[in-house]
Amino acid sequence: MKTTIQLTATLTVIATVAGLSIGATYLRTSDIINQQKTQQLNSALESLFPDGVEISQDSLIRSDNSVLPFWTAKQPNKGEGNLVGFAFESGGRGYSSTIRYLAAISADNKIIGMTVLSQEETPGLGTRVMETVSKATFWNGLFAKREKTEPWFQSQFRNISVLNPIGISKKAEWHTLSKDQKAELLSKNEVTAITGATITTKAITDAITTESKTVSEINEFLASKKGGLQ
Amino acid sequence: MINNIGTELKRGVLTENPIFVLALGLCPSLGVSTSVSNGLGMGLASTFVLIGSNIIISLLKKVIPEQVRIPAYIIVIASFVTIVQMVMQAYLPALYTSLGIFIPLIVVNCIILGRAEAFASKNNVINSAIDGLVMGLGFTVALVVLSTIREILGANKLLGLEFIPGFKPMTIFILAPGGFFTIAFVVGLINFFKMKKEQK
Amino acid sequence: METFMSLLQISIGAIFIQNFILSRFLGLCPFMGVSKKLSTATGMGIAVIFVMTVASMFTWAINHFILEAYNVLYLQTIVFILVIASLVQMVEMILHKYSPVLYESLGVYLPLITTNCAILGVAMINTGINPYSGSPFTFVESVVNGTMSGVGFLLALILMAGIREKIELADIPKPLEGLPIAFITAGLMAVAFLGFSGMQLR
Repeated sequence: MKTTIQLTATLTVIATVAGLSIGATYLRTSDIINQQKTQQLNSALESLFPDGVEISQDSLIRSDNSVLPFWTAKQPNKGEGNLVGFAFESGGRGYSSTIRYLAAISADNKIIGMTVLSQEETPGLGTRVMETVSKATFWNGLFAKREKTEPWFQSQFRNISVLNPIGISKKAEWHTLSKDQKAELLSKNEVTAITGATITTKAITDAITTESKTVSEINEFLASKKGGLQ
Repeated sequence: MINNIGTELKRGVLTENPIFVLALGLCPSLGVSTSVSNGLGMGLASTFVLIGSNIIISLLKKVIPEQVRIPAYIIVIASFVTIVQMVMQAYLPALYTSLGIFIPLIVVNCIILGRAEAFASKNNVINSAIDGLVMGLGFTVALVVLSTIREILGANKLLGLEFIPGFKPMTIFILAPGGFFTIAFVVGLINFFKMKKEQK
Repeated sequence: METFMSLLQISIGAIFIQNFILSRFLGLCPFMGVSKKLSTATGMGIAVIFVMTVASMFTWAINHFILEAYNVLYLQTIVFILVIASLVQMVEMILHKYSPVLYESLGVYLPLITTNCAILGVAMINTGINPYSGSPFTFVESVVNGTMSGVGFLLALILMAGIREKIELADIPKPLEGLPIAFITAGLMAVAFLGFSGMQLR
């Protein structure tokens, strides 16, 4: 009996000390983690819109009573018609994970930019949505300052219309195409697929296409707000 | 003590390498070795946990009763893992997301519980800390070797930069089968050189 | 009907598309350790299915009703591993008392399971988002995910053991004997399982 108590007591003491030290670390790091997350979101938003716009958060209540937060970007000091566009966060079911992304839409319903916030797709295939094309190689670029380039998969969404379905071209990857070929794709409202990861590609185009409803909802909300103010 | 470190290092990295020789900790070594930065991050995180848990367990070796030693070790290891997890999330968020589920799984890495049971519970604090460091480094070296091969062959990249201009990478080396093939040939090569040495 | 489809998706996903061993790299140590003989592989596989199912039930409930409710998710790792370790002990004792036959056949594998990262892995996956529905795993979904991940583990283990029994008799280059040839076999099996990756159930 005595040993049972002794065993339980030792384990309890160890578990308590362990729990307390984890709690202490949590208190020290949780603020930084939250800051980190807000900062990540803010820099993603800033990268989507042109420089020098004012970004503010807003939200609306959707038809199914859920709250939809979104961000509006305005040209400062320009009065009437100063809205550059708005951005919202959404997700799509990818191959092995949910792909969360942030999309910025212009006043004429075209994509200003889109950026993937989080994904856990297959390394080497689906994760290539984050791949950037750079001329730097291991031999000359290791110690050079790395320029920040937008992933090619995400750049091809620029100026794609959200209200029309987005097509997928499987011929070649966007970053290998010429200027004319890129323009041709854009006129057909198409993006190129990542080789070997069409499921991931389709997940993102499908997700954006289904969000056309969200886009019109935000547009209506902004229009009614504008009307109300006048 | 200090002059021993050389031989100790040789033991951890070569003769008793946790992955290539003892075949422990296989899951993280194949799961995260898709890029050198992931492999290095995982190796260093595990090394930290290994040193920390070895020190604490060695300090507590007289206090922990024989019958409940395994749960006690698990608690110590799990606390270190959780701390690493939170610190990494705060200061290295990109690495945290790319390692994903494999960070909490450091807890069940057999190397750590194995060293606690086989070494730290029988030796003094300094020796246990050195053992943790040496074994951790062996694990890290193995991960870096695996991930270098896989990143170059599978993505034609090293540390995220193009390695051989114009070389078309074999994506399979980044995918699951490539992990198995890479470790098979590395272990095969080690065996080959060992046999050659023995023949002499 | 919809729930049935979603459970079917989870099952096929866990067994074939995202096989624990061949695609997720979880549970490799027992996979390499006990796949030398078909009979031991089957025993280990069944024990894993059993523990994974029970562990999925308990960890889902604990995560949902305690960790999330009291906002102490940062204790997840330590709580889960303790729950799994005690569950394995409990299963062992219950089997010992009430089903000596089952204990006889599974008993030796049970202590090995605590450090099998597949069990903690499935518990962690169950706390996340169900990729097939886009919302968090429900209780039933996580239990099915646990059982079926175990079935996937058993399948890979049995296939591997069957091949390894034959390989024993083959003429292999000396340096590749033992572990390396087992890894190559696993790699070839993973190539075969890549074939399932195109499957889409929507």
